[in-house]
Parts: sequence; structure tokens; C-alpha cells
Amino acid sequence: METFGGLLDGFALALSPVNLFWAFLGVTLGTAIGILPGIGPALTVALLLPVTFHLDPTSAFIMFAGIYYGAMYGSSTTSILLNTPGESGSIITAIEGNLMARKGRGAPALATAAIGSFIAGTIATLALSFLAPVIVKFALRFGPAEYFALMILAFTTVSAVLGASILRGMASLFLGLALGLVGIDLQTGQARFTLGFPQLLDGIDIVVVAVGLFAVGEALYIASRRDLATEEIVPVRGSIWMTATEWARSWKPWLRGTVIGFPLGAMPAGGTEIPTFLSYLVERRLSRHPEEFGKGAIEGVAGPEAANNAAVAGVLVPLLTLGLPTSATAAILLAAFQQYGLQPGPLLFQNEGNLVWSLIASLYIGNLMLLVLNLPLVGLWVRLLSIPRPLLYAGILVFATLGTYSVNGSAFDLVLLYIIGAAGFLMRRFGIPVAPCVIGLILGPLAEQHFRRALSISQGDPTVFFSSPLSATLLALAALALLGPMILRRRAAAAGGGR
Amino acid sequence: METATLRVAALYAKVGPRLFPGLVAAGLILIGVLLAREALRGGPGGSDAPPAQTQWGAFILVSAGLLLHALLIERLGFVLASTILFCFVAMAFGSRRYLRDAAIGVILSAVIFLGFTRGLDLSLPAGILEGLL
Repeated sequence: METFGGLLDGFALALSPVNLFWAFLGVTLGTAIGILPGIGPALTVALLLPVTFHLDPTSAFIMFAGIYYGAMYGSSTTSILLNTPGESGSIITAIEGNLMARKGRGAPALATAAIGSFIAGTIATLALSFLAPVIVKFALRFGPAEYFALMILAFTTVSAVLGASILRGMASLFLGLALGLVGIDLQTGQARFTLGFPQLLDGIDIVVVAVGLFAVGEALYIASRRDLATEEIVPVRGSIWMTATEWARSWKPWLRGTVIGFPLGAMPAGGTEIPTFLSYLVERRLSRHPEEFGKGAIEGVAGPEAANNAAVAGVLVPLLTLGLPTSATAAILLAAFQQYGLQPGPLLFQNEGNLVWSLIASLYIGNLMLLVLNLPLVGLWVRLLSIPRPLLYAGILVFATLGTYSVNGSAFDLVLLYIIGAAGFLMRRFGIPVAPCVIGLILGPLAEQHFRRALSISQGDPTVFFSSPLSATLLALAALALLGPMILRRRAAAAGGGR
Repeated sequence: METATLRVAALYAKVGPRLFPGLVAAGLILIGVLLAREALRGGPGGSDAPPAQTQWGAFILVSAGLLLHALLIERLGFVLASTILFCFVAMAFGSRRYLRDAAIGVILSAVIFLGFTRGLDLSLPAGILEGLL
């Protein structure tokens, strides 16, 4: 089977000393930056993007694989000890894990999160290795109409899933789509919406938007309401090893979390929020100690953390095989591919098989490295949490401007960074999620291209999107994702009113 | 929030003879209207927490730091511009140990500068410290 051959070649490449070094650097940087409060995985990847500018693609992606997984580990440590989830996938970990830490069981909480992440990550990477080639075969038959429909589905599910309300998700998404329109039109070469600035001809770089929304927007928001936020680091005491009971209570949630997380992450609906919530609910239902939930139950950390990491690996399935990012972090990874002139999708597996397989191989390696880095060394990482807030945010912004500046070497981007950051501040204040915006920005231009290609193939006949059964199904699903919750809510409201 | 959405929409609508920008603009207008309706009805409150008091002073300090940085990076160079940014942000977050902040800012940005230009082959403007670094 081609998976084995590909993986073998991939491991051969990834295990070379140089690439092992890049993987190690990636997981270390990913953990170190991911652990800093206020920096989630998406921002970690965006900030570290410039570091890889001068590497060859294989090394760069090996490093990115490390950063991607490392940032997830780092985030969960922060969630448990500080109760500040870096991204929606670790909200549950933050609740239950932080409660455990407060009861003096922070060390086992960290351990079950790390081991659970390792097990889930490994199983899910294995699933990714075998599922990806199958999807690639299927996806090779996709035409522009199918791709467009698939992207519409991703748009609607992403905005429906992330954030408080569909409307707010859509607002963020459309903002991203509008930003994505800026620049030279790829098919006609005409400049659009550049407002006369030559610097905007190449479009707005996703690094600028992601860093602006996640770092600058966040810093402005936290600074402006600093007095309200008092944080408390829970110190880690005692052995990091779990007791036999804790092992016994953890291993089933790990496996169940994996089973829940991977398929949900791999669907083009994607995201890590739903699988973690689902895993939490399942564990609470199945637990023999349901009364501990909400007071720091180890199952409530083990399951959702495993689900989170499995979903994180799952998200790579649509990203690598279809070029479809379903999380903000994946959107930035897609941008990283584009920087090297690579377009993820079925053709990437055929043309750049070595690169893809060494990326997948380094996911296994990175995962193992992370377990070693995180279990014995967690005390070291935790020290990063005690950096005083003023210095931390000052440092974050220095890195944010650095990353932005080095994309194009232009001070114009720094002004743009501030403007987008101010927009991010407003979005934060009004409860508009920022992730759909990042996804809209990167996927918008691709969707437009497929849209127009499909229309030019059909000579302007819009029914092309409905005449192919696959594209029609996808569009129907998208409509369902958008309208379904609204109808359900109406029903619920009507039923509630009738009582 | 509503006005922001609508303003963007109006701007884009004018330029949109092409289909896709038109669709995006239409979507923005629709969402703007729906959000405005929700806000007028006093539906689910916008912000996740009541914006008790916004510290505009801190907001302005961070903003000033960032804009100054954009203005100065190519004149004074990366190290000095970043140090200024560092100090402004630290101040905005309530630090009152200005000297310490400045020292950390200089060291951090100098290390980054050297690491990036020597180690990673990225070019950053050296500015007035050209000969020194």
C-alpha cells in the first residue's frame, strides 16, 4: 500500500540529523511560545512563520509540524495552570484542569493532558496517514464546482461553530472575505480595492491579519481592561507521575477522546471545539464519579485533551488533501504552504509526495519529542508563566511587529497591522470571533477562483453548482448548517412560549 | 460594530461590477442589517462581559507605541524602534520601572536583531546604529 512506502520515505527524510534538529527546534519553540498566556496556537504559528523564510520547504514544514503540535501542548499547560485557554479547543481543559490544579492535583492534570495528547496524537496521525491517500483519490475527481461547494460548506460550518452566534461568525467571515478581495485579481490582473496604495497590490498578507487580530487586538483589549483581569498561577507541587488510580481513570477517556476527536476534526466542518465538548459530555455520562465533574475530575481533562489533539491531527486531513483549512491555525499553515508556491490539495500528494510524507512522519517524531519535553521538563516551562504581564505583552508586540515587518520588509504593513489590530479590538469587545475572518481571508480568493472557473466552464450557467450531485449535496449541507440551528432555535422558542 | 460593518459594505459596493465582490458586499450589508436589528431589539448582548470601564489611556499608549514603531523603524532602525514600542506597551500594562523596561527592551531587540540578521539571513533595518551592530 502506498501509505507504507510514502511513510518509509518520509521517515528516511525526517530522521536525517538536520531535519531532526528542525523538528526539535519546532517543538521547543512551539511549546515555549504556545505556553505564554494570551498566545494561542494560531498566533504561535503566525509569529514563527518568518523564522522559516530561508529554509528549504521540507525543513520548513518539518519545523512547522513541530510548532503546530508544540503549540497545542503549550496551550493546554497554560489552560490548566492559569485558566486562560489559548483557543476554543482548550476551554474544557481550562475549566476542569484548573479546578484540579487548585485542589493541588495540577501535576497529574498536566501529566494526563500530556500523555493523552501523545496517545491521541499518535493514533490520529496514524489515521491521517491511511485516510489521506483515500481522500486524495476521491478528490482528484473534483472539479471547480465541487471545490467551490466544499468551500461554501467550510465557510458556513466554521462561522456556525466558532463564536457565540452564527450572525457574529458570519460577520467575521465576510470581513475576512472582503479583506481577501484586496489586491490584483488573479484572473484578469486588475487591481481591486487597493485605495491607490501600491503596497496593497499583492493583497493583504495573512500574517499581518492573523498577528493583528490575535496579538495586537488582544493586547489592546487586555490593556484597556487590565484591572478586571486578575490571574493566579497555580503552583505545581509533587510528583508529575500519576497514581495507579489516575492511570486507570485516564486511559479509557484518552481512547474515547481520540475516537471522537479525529473524525470530527477531519470533516470539512472541522474545528476542535465541538469534539472537546462532546468528549466532556461523554465522560461525564460514563464516569463512575459524575459528582466530581465541575470540581476537577481527571476524566474531564484526559478525554477533552485527547479529543483536542486528535482533532488537531484530523484538521490536517482536509488541509493536506483538499487545501481546505478549517481552523485559524490551519489557515496560517496553508499560507505557509503558499509562501513556498505550494498549493495543498490532491496534486500536492502526487507532485510533492516526499514533502507531504516527511511532514507526516515528523508529526510522529514531534509528538514523541513533545512527550519527553513536557513530562519531565514541565516545571521549566511553567516558569515562563511567571513573566510579569507588562513585559510579556511588550515582548509579544515586539515579536508581532517583527514578524509583520519581515514578511515584506515594509513599514506600511506595520500601519496595516495596527489598523487590523484595532478592528480586532472592536471584534473582541463585541463578541465577534476572529477565527472565521482569518479563514475567510485565505479561502476567499481560492473560492472566487473556483467559482469563476466553474462558471466559465459552464459558460455562465449558474446551475452548474447544482447539476453535479456532489456539489449539490455539499451546498445543501451548507444551507443546513446555516439554517438548521436557526430553525431549531425558533422551534425551541415556540415550544417554550407555548408552555 | 454595526456601523463599521455597514461602512465597509458601502465602500465595496461602489466598486463592484464583478460578481464575487458584489456577493461579498451583499453579504456584508445583509449581516450589518441583521446585527443592527438584533442590537435595536436589545437581543443577546454583544460583549461577552460588560465593558465596565475601558482604560482608554492604556489603549492610547499601546496604539501610540505601535504607530511610532511603524514611523521610526526605517529611520532609527529596528532596535531603537522596538525598544520604544516595548517601553510604551510595558507602561500601558502598568509597569512603572521605566529603566528596567528600557534595558530589557534594548537587550531583547538587539538579540533578535542579531539572531535574525546573522542567524536567519533576514534583513532588518539597522538605522542609526548601523556601525555599532
